[in-house]
Amino acid sequence: MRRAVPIPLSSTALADQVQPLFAGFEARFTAAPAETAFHVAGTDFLCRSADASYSEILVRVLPVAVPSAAPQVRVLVDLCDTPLSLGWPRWSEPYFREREVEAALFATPFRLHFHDQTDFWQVFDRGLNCGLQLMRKAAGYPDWDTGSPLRNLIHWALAEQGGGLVHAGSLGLGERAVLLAGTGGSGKSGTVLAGLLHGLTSLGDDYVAITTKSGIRAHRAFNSLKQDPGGFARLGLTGRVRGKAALNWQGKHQFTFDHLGVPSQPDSLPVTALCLPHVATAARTTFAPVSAREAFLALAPSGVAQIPSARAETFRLCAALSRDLPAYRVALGTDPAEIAAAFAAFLDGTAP
Amino acid sequence: MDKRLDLAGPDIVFEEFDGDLVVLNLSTGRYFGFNPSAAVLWSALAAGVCPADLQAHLAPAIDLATFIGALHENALVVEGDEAPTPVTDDLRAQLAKLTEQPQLEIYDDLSDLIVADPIHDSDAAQGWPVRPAQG
Repeated sequence: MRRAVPIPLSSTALADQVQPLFAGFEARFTAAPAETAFHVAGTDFLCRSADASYSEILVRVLPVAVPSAAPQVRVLVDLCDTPLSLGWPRWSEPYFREREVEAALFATPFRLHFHDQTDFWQVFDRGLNCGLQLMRKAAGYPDWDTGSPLRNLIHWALAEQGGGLVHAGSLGLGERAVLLAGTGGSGKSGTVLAGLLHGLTSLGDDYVAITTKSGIRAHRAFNSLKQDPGGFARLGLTGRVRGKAALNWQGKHQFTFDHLGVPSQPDSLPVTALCLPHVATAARTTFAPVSAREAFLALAPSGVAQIPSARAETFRLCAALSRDLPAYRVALGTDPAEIAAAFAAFLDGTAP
Repeated sequence: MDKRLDLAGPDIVFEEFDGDLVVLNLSTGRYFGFNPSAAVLWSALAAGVCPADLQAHLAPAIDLATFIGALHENALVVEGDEAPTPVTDDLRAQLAKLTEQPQLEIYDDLSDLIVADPIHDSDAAQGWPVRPAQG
């Protein structure tokens, strides 16, 4: 491997140090061999990758689209040893403190994330609408990246328009959808799968993109789904997606909407409510109104924690959703068909 | 009590929900829920009114000192240098109506969330994805 010239970064004058990472962007972008175009929340993205295997992941997981002649956002996935690589960032302080970096870059055009264990960098220039994902080697991404690749870059791009990704699943019926928020183990993914298997639609089980300009609207950002082995068997997925749902790094089956064999799913839907499911092993699924504050505390913490370099924006977006949407705590039943029917009735406005 | 208090920097963000307030310290990842009384006092402090002036317009039973102590203890405020802002008529009316003790509830949900969902491999202070220290 060619030895990369180190580009030192530190929390002092960080914006000036980040700028050179974009040097030669046009040439490097053009030279990257693999191209993936995708469309999230009304924004056309064009990603070119020096790692062709990474593009295969993008094609599988992102909502791919016909390349736009003028993509609003361009992302370069670059490797350390590509011929045009000018150097490699190196954090020159003992610790990389996400919050300090976020604060240092707040009023600048840049957003930055660094995963030290894989030497994995994500940088976004808000002025140019260009993103960089730097990987030390091919497939040199963190274990969890394959479920939601380019997540931070997508969020930073959408945040420029007042939207962004939120940590929530969704279920839809006809032209309306609900968001499903809650911590791990609350039943979000299982509820989404129960709905999908019984005639409802979904825009995602873990993250959805949100726009607020013309009412609150949720958009598909990722095609991935996941489920722990217990839920996978309980939902009867073992035969249905056999051989296409390998266990991911956390021991959950990871697969896509396509693997599930359900009809084509919508790209976006207006959102009518925020639902906070919890596994209640109840006789039947019930909905009870909760306060905006309670909804916010279910929605905000995980999203704010998981998307670095935009925490204050995510906090505000989650607050707007919690304030503007009616919220319900949902005690989940045990039968997937019953859960789906309860959500269908709720979405249809016929729930008791 | 006669010095104004400032929010402890841009790490402190907050949102109001029907009179309740949720405050987040971005540097620690810790969330706080304020009841409506605490929300009124917080807004006044954030506007630059000093605690002594607030106390003068509160019912004697309202324990402002304990509330201020909790704000300091949780690194939500620092003593400011600027001159305090005077109490407005509107604020005076709001303060006179307060009958509930101001309460600050601390949510450590984020820590629970980290334990509950390993994909969200977070550290409360550092955010995500940073591996928490193995116990």
